[in-house]
Formats: sequence, C-alpha cells, structure tokens
Amino acid sequence: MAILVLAEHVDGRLDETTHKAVMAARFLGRDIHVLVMACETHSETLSQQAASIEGVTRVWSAAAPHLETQLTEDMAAQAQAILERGGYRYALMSSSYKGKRVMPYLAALRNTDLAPDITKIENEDTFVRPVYAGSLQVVERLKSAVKLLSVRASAFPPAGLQAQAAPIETLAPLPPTLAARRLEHRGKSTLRPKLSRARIVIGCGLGVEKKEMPNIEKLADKLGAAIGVTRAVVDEGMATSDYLLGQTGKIIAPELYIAVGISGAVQHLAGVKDSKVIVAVNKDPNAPIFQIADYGVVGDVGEVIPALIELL
Amino acid sequence: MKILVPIKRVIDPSFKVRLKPDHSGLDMAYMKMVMNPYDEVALETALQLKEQGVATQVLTVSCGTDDCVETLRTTLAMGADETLFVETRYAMSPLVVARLLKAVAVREACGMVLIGRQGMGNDGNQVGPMLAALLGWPCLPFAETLTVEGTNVRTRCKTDHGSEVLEAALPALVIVEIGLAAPRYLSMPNLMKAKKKKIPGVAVETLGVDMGMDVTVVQLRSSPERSRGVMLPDAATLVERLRTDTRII
Repeated sequence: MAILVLAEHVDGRLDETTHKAVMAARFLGRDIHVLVMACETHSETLSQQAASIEGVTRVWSAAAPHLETQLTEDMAAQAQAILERGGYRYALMSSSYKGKRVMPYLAALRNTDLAPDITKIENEDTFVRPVYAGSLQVVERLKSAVKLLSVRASAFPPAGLQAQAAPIETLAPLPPTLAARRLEHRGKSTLRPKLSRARIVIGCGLGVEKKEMPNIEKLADKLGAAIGVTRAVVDEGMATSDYLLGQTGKIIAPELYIAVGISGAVQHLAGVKDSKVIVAVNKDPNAPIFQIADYGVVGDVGEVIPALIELL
Repeated sequence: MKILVPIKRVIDPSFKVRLKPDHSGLDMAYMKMVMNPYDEVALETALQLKEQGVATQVLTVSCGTDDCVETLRTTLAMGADETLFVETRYAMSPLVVARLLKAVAVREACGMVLIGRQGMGNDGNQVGPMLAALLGWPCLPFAETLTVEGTNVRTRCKTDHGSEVLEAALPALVIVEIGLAAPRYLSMPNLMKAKKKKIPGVAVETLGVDMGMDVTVVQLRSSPERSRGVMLPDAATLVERLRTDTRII
C-alpha cells in the first residue's frame, strides 16, 4: 500500500516542506508517491526534483496552465482522482497555508476526517498534535481506510537526496474547476532568509522601539538571520502579519531563536518553543520568556543589541 | 443575500489551560468562555457588508450544548439579525460540524459563508475548507481584505510566500483572517435588548445529518515543558556561551 505526498512549490522550485512531508511519510511506509501539480513551464523540473528526494518511489506529474494558480479545488480534485485509483493507505502534505486549505477540502471530498498539523506519528493510525498554544497535546486515532494527514513542517527534518531518481509518470490533468480566479499574487521581496527556513531567527516584541529596528536588522544581517514579530507588534502596525510568529502565525523551530523585547505570552511561545536554543533579551527580569530561555540577558535592548553587533 | 457566520465558543485564549488531576480532560474550573476571536472578526465583516447594502441579513449559528446560547446572544447584541442553535450532546468531529453547517446554509438559503480560520485552542483549521467542499462553493481562504462587487466576491488572501487576490462568483465561502476587521464594542442598550430575545434551537436529528466520525481522541496530555536556562550578565558572556556551548554562531 502506497503513501501519496502532495508537493508544494514556488517560482519553479520545490518547497522544502515537500522534503519534510516525505520524511514524515517514511515513518509510515516504504512506497512513497509524490504528486506534482504545476504549469507546463515548471512541471518537468519540479517532477525531477521530487523524483530525487530520498525515499520517493514514484512521481505523478500533472501539468496544465490552470494548475499554476494552485487553487484549493483543483489541487484537491486532482489528488482525489489518484486516491480513487486505489492502492493508497495515506495522503499527506505539510500544514502550510496551502496544506491548511487543501487537506481539509480533500478530506471532505472523501467524506472522512483528517489528522491535521501533526508533530508525531505514534503508530500506523495514531497521531499527535499540539493544542492550546502548545501547552497540551492531543493524541488522535483515524479509522478511515485512506488516512489523511497534514504534518507540521518544523517537527520533521527534510528528507535528503537519492542517487537513483524515481520514475516520473505523466497524469492527465483534470479540467479546471473554475471555482475562483487569481487576479494577482505577490511574494515578499527580502534579502533575508525565509522565516520557515532560517537557521537563526530574531523575534521582536513591543520592547523593541521603532528606533532600534535598524540595529535589529544589522544584527540579523550579521547572523544571516530572519526576523519575526509578536502579535502586539503587528497590531501596532509596525509589521505585517507575514512576519507573525505564534499560535495564529508561523510556527518555527530554528537552531537559535533570539527573543528581543518579548515578554513571552503563551500565544507567542506556541510558535517558537521548539527552537533548539532560545536566547531572551528583556529589561524586565520577571518576564515569563526567561522561564523557557536557555540563555537570558536582562538589559536594555538599546544597549544589548549594539553590543552584540560589536562582538559578532 | 443572507450571510451565514458559524460561531464557536472557546476558552478565553488568554487563560492557561490545565488538565484535570486524573488527566481525564480539561480542568474547566475558573475558565472563562468567549466567542472565538476569528468568528468575532467574521461576524464584524458580515455586519459591515450589511451596512454597505451588500447583504440583507446576517445569520449566526452554533452547534453544541446549551452553553452556546450565551455566545449566540452576544452575536445578537453585536447586530446579527437572526441566530440558530443546533443542539447536540454528541461528540462532533470537524467534518460532522461541517455537515451540520452545510444543512443550515442550504435550509436558510444563504449566499455566503464567512467563517473564522481556526477555533482558538484546538487550532485545527479544518471546518472552513470542509464546508466549502461539501457545499461545492468556491473557497477563498485566509482573507485579509474582502469586497463584493455585483455577484462577485474578491479577497486578498494570505499565502505561504506573500499574498494573492482571488475572485469568485457568489455563492462562496470566505475563510477569515484575524486582521480582516476590528470587532465593534457592545453597547449596553444592545446587550439589554439581546437578553430579551429568544434563541431558536433546532434538534440535530431534524437536520438529517450523518453524525459518524472517523477520528477519536485517544488522549489529551501535557506537552513536555522547556526547562529554565541560565541568566547571563551581559552581551559578551552571551556571545561566548553561544560560541562554546552551542557552536551555532
């Protein structure tokens, strides 16, 4: 019985979330098929990238102009068509924004429940996910014949590459569902690494004044770090929600997280507490962030950050 | 056009949840229940569409036990025209909730569903896309802006790499992000008026919905806690420790 992984990609490159989803699939079985849905321009390159992920045994490649927009309805219908051929035990993708819309939609098409945003596979039908801003975990069991999952990318390492690429099979694309039209799309243009991929992330809370931001950016550049913010900073209009870390934003697990001027509300910690090492800089010695930080420095952001830049 | 806004009652997200001493479930003592913040934003958006003349009616609905009535009353105080309480004592998976909401949307001839992205606490992000699939309506996920022009709804949607603008013909389902609207304050006169209103209930059996589920909760348990680390006197010591202990920098 095989496992179907839905590939994610952007600008003609396979997203690392795909490699992580494949890693999760490797805990479930050995016959791993990746479904690549893309426009004709990118389809071949993406399929080749998917075929060389370690553990992948087959790539299904569906290419059509309308698949470029990656609409929920089109992706779910294409995945459902493959699952209906039979032979599958699981279907999964990462619980990215895309996974959060496609997997539940696919589940409803199949009239089954889903185990969403899982961080651990207990056994073949039992899965763990964090709830209540990560303070609790719920263990859920799926009894459907084909089990649908979305996996939290930060909880699984990316699968590596294999020397012998898996065979690629072309799949007739389904006609567009015409559910919605995409009129415009834009990515963030930034020279810094993406939050979800960065080795080091600096988080800014309300304790970082506007005038300190140039120094934070300087520190980020020195460390090759990404910058994220708390909900309070977004609410103040100082950053867009693209940079939000926490229960309602991005969930990350970098090697080093530096929390600057962040008190440590449970909603924020939900997004960062799986970081390998946490450093906190805050002028309030009683800030809750110090209770979970590996290294804490009590001090003024305006003094500690320039000192760090100097030392690095 | 009638807009349907599903409402979930959740534990106030600012409260720290705990397990009962015997780990049989959540310790609900001293917990405050509130309307899910995302649903408040969805309702506010619906009310604004009504004020713009786009919608004629705003209907709120909740599925669950008697406690939901209090939350639904708050939706009336905010300005919802009608509300419906789907009464059930059964456990419900997200798919069961989506089936119930579909039955309500069809029965009430709604032209749009505005639904919060996630229920705070459970954080599953499931019911919105499931409901769109069951209704066969376009799904506009993670909307940060929304306009209705004629028979089309247009939203700017959050994506993994930025945002995109999607447009679909009504009827459609829009999944609401927290930044879409700022919920209005409740006025005392409106609260008093809402107190007097009757909240109509409908027994789940009358909706003819399959209550079967493929998912069961095996256990709810505490997450492993991070332990407290060390306090360092200054930036220089921090850099030294990071270099020698972790070798990340």
